[in-house]
Amino acid sequence: MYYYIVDPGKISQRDFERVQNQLYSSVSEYKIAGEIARVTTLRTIPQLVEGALTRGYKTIVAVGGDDTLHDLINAVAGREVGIGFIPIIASEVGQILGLGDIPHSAKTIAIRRIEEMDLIYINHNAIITSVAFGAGMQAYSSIFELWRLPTFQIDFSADNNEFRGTTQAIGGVVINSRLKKPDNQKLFNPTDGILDVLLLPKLSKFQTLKFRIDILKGNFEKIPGSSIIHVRQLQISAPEGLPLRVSNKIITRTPATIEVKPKALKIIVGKERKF
Amino acid sequence: MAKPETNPETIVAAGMRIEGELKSSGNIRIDGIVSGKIHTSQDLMVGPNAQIDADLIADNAVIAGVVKGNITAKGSVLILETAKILGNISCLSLGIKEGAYFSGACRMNEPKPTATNGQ
Repeated sequence: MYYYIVDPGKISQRDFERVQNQLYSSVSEYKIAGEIARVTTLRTIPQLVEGALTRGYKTIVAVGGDDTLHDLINAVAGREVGIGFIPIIASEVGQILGLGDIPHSAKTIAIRRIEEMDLIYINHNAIITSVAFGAGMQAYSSIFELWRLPTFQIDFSADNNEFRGTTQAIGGVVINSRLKKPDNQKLFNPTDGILDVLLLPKLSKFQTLKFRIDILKGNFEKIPGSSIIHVRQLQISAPEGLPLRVSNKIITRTPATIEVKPKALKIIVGKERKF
Repeated sequence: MAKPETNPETIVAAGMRIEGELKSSGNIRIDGIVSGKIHTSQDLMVGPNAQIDADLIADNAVIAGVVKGNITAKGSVLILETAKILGNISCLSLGIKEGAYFSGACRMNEPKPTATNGQ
């Protein structure tokens, strides 16, 4: 039996009713009906998950955005339960998992192809995708703002002190999985037990202008002068207080430990998945 | 012979300093400063501004920067004109461009005999 956690998030009441109707008809059509619970301020995702596990549900489905899925993953926290996802808004994770709209995602859940994926843990917060700091993967109002991005010295140690590093950078991204694959297909594979770390140095004004789209998207591997290293665990010790962002949301600040837990997530994926 | 511009999976760019053991199963390019040990099962490119105080182990290596340490390659080592190497080299084939500095011993490995049918 399936337990659906529906998170309306920021969508309007009118859109939510449309989503709910589509959800009811899709789970009925693909014979994956179950209990449907809506997230409210009084019924949070961790509370709903505890209730579902107590009642013996073996598959919990997040219906919402990437944040909803990440909240579900953290609430489940390594317990033996299958996870599904039905994105109701634009979702990078949904595309990585090969999910489309509500009917397509419901059909995928009915087919029930389960894959094991790596998770990134950032100070005990689990995510599927990537964590960014400094420049990159956030919106800027103008090119002038990009030109004025501060440089900071980043000090880190990797793989339980196997090596230590330091460099001047304006931004960085630690990636488990990402929608856009680079030419080098070995990068950003969420099943290899490795995190790919991209560090962007200070660029000239011309280079900043030339690579502004790649800076905004965090595609630092396409920008000459960037460093790319691969780690299982990364401890950022300096600078202190640097915000670490997931999908534009600050989840913690440095000093922080970022590590990969290989194959820690069992999740239902579509055949168009990107890994 | 290793190509200087293979598609690297690991890049230590100029301005980055690494201390310790850097391991990779893919191609590595170093333009920064590394001390310790570098180990890859594929190709290694040391750029002209790189400064390395480490032993290097790779399948093939192209050296254009400063290396203080021993270089061990299963295949070839190519030393470009801007390189300065203080250490020993062990490889299957060696190329040194005019202008390069190399102070150390070189041990050439014998190619493995290829098996022939019926033997």
